Amino acid sequence: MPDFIRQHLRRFTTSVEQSDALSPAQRASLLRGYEEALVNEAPPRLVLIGQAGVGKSKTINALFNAGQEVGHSRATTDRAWTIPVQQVSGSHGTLEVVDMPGIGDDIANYRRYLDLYREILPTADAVVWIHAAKDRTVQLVQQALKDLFGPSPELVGRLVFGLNKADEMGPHDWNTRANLPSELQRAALLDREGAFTRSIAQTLPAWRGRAVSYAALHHYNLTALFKEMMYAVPEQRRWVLEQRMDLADFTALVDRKLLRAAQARTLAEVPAATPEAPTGAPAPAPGLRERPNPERPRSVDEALAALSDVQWQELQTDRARFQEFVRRVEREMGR
Amino acid sequence: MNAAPEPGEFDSIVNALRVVMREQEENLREIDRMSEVSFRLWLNSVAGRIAKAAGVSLARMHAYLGDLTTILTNARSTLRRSYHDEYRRARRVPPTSAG
Repeated sequence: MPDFIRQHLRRFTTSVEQSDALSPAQRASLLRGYEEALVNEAPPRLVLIGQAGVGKSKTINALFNAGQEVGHSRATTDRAWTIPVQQVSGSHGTLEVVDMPGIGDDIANYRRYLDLYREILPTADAVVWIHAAKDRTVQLVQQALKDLFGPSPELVGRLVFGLNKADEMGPHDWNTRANLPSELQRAALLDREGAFTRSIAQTLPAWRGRAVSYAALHHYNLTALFKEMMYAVPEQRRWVLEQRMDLADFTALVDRKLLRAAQARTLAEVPAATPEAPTGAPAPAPGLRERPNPERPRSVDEALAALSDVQWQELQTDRARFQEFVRRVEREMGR
Repeated sequence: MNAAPEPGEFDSIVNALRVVMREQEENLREIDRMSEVSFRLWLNSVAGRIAKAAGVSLARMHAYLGDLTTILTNARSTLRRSYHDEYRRARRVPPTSAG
């Protein structure tokens, strides 16, 4: 449960319990009503569309920490052709995932399923269409969009387009140390996002979103994808989706030295929480006096990378200590 | 894994990393903001049902919820004196003639 909901519930409970204008039965009814409404709100339902192997499951796992196998399925209809609604357990709650079979994959199945697709789409909180970033073919996507959303233009706003596998984009030189696309890849990804967005907008002029490139495998740009999903979900239901969010950590795959250098520079730029500068030289963190590497550091970045995790945490939480550490390293370097 | 970057390249990679990390933080802030607005809207939509079940007026329910957005929305949309008075009573603020 997000903090603001927990705080809200606590405030409400306190107000109700302290009110002398309510009977005990009314108090109980109000508190029960609020908690039941919270608990009984239906889980978010995501409709996933995309070719086999494009990374739909990996995307769900990366967004919701849903590493478990997909749970039980239930049929949405008792016709011979059915589309299963899968109950997926994320670390922060359950969500319903509908994998649309056949779209962008198998034309024969697509035609047979079309009526079922049209039935299920209005039940979705968001329709997440996943496409490989390097795949330039959008004709099948455009045709399916016309078939599915032409008769239901009110659902266009629920569409999200994710361009997965950004790491496989040409010229295939993903920077694994920084866990980032190379400059050339980044430029190519921006071009692809723009071209894809324009091609969708040509087909569905009412769509106001933008295609987002990301890499589920590398946890790259997941926040941008999730933000687009939030925009797509009906406004009153967004908090239900956010409640389940548990994004895989992009920085966990970044080289430690690079990450610390980036964090340190950000730390050096952020204004101090208290406006007045500390008087006198602050005492360095106890653990920092005996740095593990007795050799003279060649750069601040190198000195930061040599710190233990505990020492780094101490520095990160105290800006004055951080600045003192940097000054001390610079003095040692100049010696 | 790529080879270790040259010193000049190191700086540009670190800067690229900072940009991505900053974008992530901004995205998370926006997600958080949207979620909070969404929750208030939802709360406003269920408040009436909860109040009715408990036999409590909507104004009193809003006072307990203490949600300024919800309160202002309802105050503007209803503009009923009874709503304001009931709300003030529940908040233990004496009603004024301005209503």
